[in-house]
Amino acid sequence: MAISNDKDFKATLAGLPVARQRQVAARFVQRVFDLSKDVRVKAALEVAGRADISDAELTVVSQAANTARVESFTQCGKETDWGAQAGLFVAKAAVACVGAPAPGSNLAWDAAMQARMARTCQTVATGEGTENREAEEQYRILEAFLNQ
Amino acid sequence: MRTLLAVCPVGNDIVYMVRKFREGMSASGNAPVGIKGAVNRTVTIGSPMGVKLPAVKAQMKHVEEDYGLPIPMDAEGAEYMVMLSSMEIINFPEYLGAIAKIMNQAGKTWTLCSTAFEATNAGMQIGNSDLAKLLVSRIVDGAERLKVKTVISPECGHAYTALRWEGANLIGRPFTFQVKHIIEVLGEFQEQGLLKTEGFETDRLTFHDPCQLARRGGVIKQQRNLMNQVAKNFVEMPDAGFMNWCCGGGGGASAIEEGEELRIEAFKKKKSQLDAVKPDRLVTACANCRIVLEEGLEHYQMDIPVVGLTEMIAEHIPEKGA
Repeated sequence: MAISNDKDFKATLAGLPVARQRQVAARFVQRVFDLSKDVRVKAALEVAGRADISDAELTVVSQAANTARVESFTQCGKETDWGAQAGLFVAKAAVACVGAPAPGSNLAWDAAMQARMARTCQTVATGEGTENREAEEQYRILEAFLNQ
Repeated sequence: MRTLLAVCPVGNDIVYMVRKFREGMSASGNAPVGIKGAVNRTVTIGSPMGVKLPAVKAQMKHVEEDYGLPIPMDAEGAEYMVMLSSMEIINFPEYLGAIAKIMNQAGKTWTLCSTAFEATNAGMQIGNSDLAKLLVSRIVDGAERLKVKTVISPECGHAYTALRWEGANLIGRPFTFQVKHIIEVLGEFQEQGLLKTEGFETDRLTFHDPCQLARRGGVIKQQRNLMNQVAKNFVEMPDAGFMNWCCGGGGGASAIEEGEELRIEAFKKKKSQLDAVKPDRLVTACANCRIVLEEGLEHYQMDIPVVGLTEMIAEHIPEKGA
């Protein structure tokens, strides 16, 4: 199945069971993990990527990833470091991977969007502008995931 | 401090006194270093946190992708000009998406302004009236250029106070447009039947009233009406509303390194409010409060997620075609 736009991408993700959403979401975030390198984020992605995760494991990594997220906020009045800000969105994406999904939510889409924001922060930081191909890369990841 | 203003038996305007104190410290070169940096960036870049227009456009693009709705900029004649604080642009881009969703449903025209997207008034923070006037003027110029009817102040505390309550005095003339906080606007949409939501939050929610919005701005009923539209189990903390306790980051305490210990100590009061009602989640309408609250909750190991009210309302707006 070829995915070439966000409408199809989002709908396909929404159709996956939660456990599969976590697994593919972890792959989206893994692509931008080098923008964070936080061990708590890494742990969250490792757990989310497994098929056999327990609720207890999810709770532990979710709390740790959330702490990483809170610690990543840029404080009021501080000069924005867009490179570091990418780390906030990677942490947010990791939280989406392992958090408890609200009814009707699409955690894999949420993770994907946060990962894209992380990439955008990186390109802003390096002066490359705001164009990047993260969305297209995510489509390829999802296709590969569905085909395995 | 602001609570003292409310209870002083002889009517001392303690907020005004502190403002004059700040102005004196600023004029004598003794303002906190962190805020001085923010002021410099505001003057030279236009944003205390160094957010430039390309970054705003990046956020716009991201939000357009996420929400499937256009984010207009410099749309002349729009009814509303939406301001953002740097905190929202940087930390909570979902706020912009929520605005887009709500405006789309309400059928209202709106726009960002390329020359005046920043709502934060660093001049007011540091106690420099000339700078405060300059920053208000930027917004006024943008609003008048675009001929908007209303400027919306975002979920940022003192930005609302600076523009809504002090702006006209600062520039020496009435505005040609109205200024409202986003919560006031949502309240109006609700009254007019323009805010159609579906479903309810069923977990136990409570609301933290930002000082600048509630006690200083008088916006107290609207957030409660909005909460009741989408929440089945909304409970009030003790001392909620006008007499609410600060998150701990007010008065610039969130903007300076030296303020961390004070924030954590002050949060004990907020903790006691939360302990009294034991909510599952905490809702508020100020980006600065959100971060300070989250830091305090993390420090005291309280597992209570914090959400923004505007975003929560937007989550209950049905998807187009649904």
